[in-house]
Amino acid sequence: MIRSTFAGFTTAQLGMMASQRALDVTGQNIANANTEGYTRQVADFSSLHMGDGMELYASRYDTKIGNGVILTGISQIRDPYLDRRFRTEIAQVGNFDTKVTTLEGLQSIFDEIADVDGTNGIHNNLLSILTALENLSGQVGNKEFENMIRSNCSVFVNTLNQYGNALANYKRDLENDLIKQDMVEVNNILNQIQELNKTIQNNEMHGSPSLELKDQRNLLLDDLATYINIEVSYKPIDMGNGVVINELHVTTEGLDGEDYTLIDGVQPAAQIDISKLADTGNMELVLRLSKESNVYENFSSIGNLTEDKMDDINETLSSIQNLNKEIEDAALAGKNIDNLVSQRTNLVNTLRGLIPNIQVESPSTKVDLGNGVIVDRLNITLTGNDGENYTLINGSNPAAQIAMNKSHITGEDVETINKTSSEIQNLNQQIQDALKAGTSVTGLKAQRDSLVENLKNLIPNLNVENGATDDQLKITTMGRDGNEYTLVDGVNPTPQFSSTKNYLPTKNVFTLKSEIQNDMTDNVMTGSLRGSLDMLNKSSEFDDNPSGIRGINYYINMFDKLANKFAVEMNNLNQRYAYENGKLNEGKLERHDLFESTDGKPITASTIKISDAWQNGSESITTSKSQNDPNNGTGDNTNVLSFINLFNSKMDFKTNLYNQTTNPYDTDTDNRVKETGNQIFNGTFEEFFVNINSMLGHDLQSANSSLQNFTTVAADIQDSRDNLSAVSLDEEGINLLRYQKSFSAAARLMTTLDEALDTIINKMGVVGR
Amino acid sequence: MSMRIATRSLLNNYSRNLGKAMGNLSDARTKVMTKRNFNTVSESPSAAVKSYQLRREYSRNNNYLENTESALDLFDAIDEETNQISTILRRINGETLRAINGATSYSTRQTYAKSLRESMETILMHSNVKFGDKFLLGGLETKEPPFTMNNGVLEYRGIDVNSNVQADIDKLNEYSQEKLYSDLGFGLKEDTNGTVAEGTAFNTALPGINLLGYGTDSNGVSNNIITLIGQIADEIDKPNIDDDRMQLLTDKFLEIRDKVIDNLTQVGTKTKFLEDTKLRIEDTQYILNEQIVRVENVDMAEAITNYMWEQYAYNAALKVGTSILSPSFIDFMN
Repeated sequence: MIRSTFAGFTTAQLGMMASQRALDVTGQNIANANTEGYTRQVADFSSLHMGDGMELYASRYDTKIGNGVILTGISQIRDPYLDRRFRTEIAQVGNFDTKVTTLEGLQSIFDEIADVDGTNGIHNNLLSILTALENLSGQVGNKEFENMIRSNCSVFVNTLNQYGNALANYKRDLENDLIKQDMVEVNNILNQIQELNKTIQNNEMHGSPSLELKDQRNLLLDDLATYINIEVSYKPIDMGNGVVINELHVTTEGLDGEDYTLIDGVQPAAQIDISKLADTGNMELVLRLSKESNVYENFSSIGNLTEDKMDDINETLSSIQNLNKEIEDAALAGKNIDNLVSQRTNLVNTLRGLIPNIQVESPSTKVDLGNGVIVDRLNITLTGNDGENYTLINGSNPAAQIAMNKSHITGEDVETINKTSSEIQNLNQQIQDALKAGTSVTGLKAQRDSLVENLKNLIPNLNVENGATDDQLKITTMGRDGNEYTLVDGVNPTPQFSSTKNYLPTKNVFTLKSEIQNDMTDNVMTGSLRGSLDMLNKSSEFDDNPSGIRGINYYINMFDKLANKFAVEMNNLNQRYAYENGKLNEGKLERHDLFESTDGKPITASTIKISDAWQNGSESITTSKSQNDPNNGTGDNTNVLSFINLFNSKMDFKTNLYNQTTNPYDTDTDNRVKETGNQIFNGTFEEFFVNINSMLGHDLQSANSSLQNFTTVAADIQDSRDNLSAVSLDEEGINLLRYQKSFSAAARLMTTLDEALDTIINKMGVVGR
Repeated sequence: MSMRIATRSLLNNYSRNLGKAMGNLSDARTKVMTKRNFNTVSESPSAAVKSYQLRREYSRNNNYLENTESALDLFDAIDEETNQISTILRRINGETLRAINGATSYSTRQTYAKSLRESMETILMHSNVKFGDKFLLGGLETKEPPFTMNNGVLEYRGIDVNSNVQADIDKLNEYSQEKLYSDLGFGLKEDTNGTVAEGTAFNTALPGINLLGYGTDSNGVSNNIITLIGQIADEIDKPNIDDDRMQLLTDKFLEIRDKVIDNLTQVGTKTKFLEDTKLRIEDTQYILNEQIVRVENVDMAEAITNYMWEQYAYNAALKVGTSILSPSFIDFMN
């Protein structure tokens, strides 16, 4: 091989250029040493070697030398495995962090242990009531001592009211946070990621690696992972011209083991929808994913669609959605919505006329819009041939729409048209035979009708003429060239179409743009959404299917139970025997309620109050069951002892509340009406309260320790990730030296070559000059 | 391969650890300041439950102590009055004997009879003993004086104590059995009828009718000590004493007197029992208090040592931050 005289200059130039670019990358790394989410970049070099293959003056010795260095790209140092592990752990951190925060909120409402030696709180209130009763037992008939009990009960009732209201408010705040903050934030993140997918894809098609945008996207993915467990995958897409782009896909695995799509490349991202269900008061989380589906292929039920019919359907759908919005607004503004609802019912009927087999959810889900404003959420779906339920209407969310595109008839279509045409012709023949034989043609005609329908779906402007007899059905159509073409002519053969003859009209392709909804309320695996849903929806033994998870409802129910049971047991004991005809009737108890509810409904923590009669002094503590007997001793304290005994009794606590203010005797069995529901606890009032606290204590302790474990693991992985991907200033410092030196060396190479050439040009052949 | 350490992980790690040191310091400080082992149930659920339980027992014991002390006050009051009655009853016997002595003139006997009637009044007064605004010997009736003299007829809560009417006798029987229980921590229990189970509470009722007797025997002699004294006085007051009847009366008097004095001394026994109970409750209080301190309160020496250690650890962490973290290779480049 003969070396070109100036060959080395390019090598030196490439070397200098490479070092410069490497210095640029180093500079970028140093500049971003503290940028959150920044992934360190490296310049990818490879050694340039040209001239493989046949050469005119090839050497037979192995003396080929490379031609320098070339920068092939700038890449990021990132380990997808660490990303995946981090996101798995951070979802658990999100889940337990939400739980810990929620439980700490509860703790601040009713944890009284710091004031155990004081006088405040349920536990101390109960102790003071007992002390007052003990004092009364030796002072029966003394009003001061009776009043002491009333004022202690009053403090107790106030504390219960305060706890009950604080718990209800706390729950409402968390519900608002979930709907107004978390939901919005998650949907934002999903949309941002999808937008970034689009931008990155565009950039990559134009040859820009978009590394910084990828960092941004990774940060968003980390954020998303705290809300819900995610699985990130990249699908290589060949964009043509040798450009391959990795398209980002994000799914979340449900507890049912299925993967649900959150991000599907550049397609519209899935959205979450959280609402409060009015009947249970629980929160519902629905995952909505847009989906487009070919009407002809997937919704045979819509039938033969024309442009007019499409417009009708779209208009009806939009009108229903608008009405839903108006109904919500009117309800929130406190206006009457009956008129709007009946308008909506009419529209739904119109829609049913257009698409006969729509499914209207019934009874519709009642949704609490906040402040107790409840509306019916209209939900209309349509089942596709693929078995999926496509949402047409979902409350005030954007309604589904059908879009129409013109499309050329393909070769495949032409084949179908020819095949169907000959089948129809064949049927015409069969009908003719049947007519001659005098047998029934009804079945054959029905077959023929459905084939004609199929043909109509392919060619919208089909002209169908029934001949004089049933066998003379003729089908023609206007081609794009303005000529009429005959597809079927009774039993006569017709010319076949070929795909090269593009005379047939364009066909209409209808696409239903709608959503597939998945109720993920009990299906979200982990992340802070799971934590919030658990804390807002789950109440362990009080649930129909006890989950063992104690959310806010559990504690609300427990305090309601305490208030309800306390009031009913006290009222129960306060009954007296009736005094009739000069003697006591021990079979008949008179009610003298000490406690009642503020709203006439079953007594709960927020509604328990001292009865008006006791408050104004017309009612009193029953010190003896025989109190109505005028001969009864004024110092008789038997019933006071019963009250004292009540405070020392171990009682069964069950999940259901008493509806009445007393717990009357069942006249049939002569037994007290039994409490119903699941058994929660056996013990005294005080022990029941301590049990509530100890449940919370244990839950919080265990959530805290889980949180700490997951946080430690996540932090470790984050460290590993940083150690791999973040900037090390030491390393970049060394890179500065390294590339600076390599630059100098390349420059030196240039000088050396220059000197060598100088020797050749100026110093060679000067002998004898 | 040696581990690559990035500046960011170094910083994150440092701030994480500094935060942890700060958190520990704050916890240790709270313990020293509140002197409490835990300020939320979740810090130590089992200790918190124990603490609540001890507080419950302590509060109940306090109730028992108060009840015992009230019962003691009550019995002290009764004791004083009943001692007076005993003294009077002892004196009456002597007076009667002197009165029926044949040497005693009718007019002197009349004086004795008058004196006996006065004693009746005194005993009646003592039997209506009050503590605070409560009558103590009325059984379950505490508002009205139990014994009243209605036109010379002694009545207990409105019923003639010597009545022959069966309904009255039944009522008096019932009154004599009345019990007024006080909860002194003997495990108060009620049976299914709502009656206090024997032995689970302390009976503070002393129905006066039981103490002083009621009804009339077949000889027409009263079983009630006050009425009996009246009957004796009536007999002495006669110009001619019926010796047989007098004998019956004095025999009866001695019989009842001993019974009454016996009843009265039982008050003393109950007082002693209450005093013992009080001591026992006070002991329990002391033990409970010890346990509460052990469960709830920190050992100050240990708490302060921990606090100092956490302070030291935090300071050290701060020091690490300023001296080790900042320099990198870049600082040493020329």
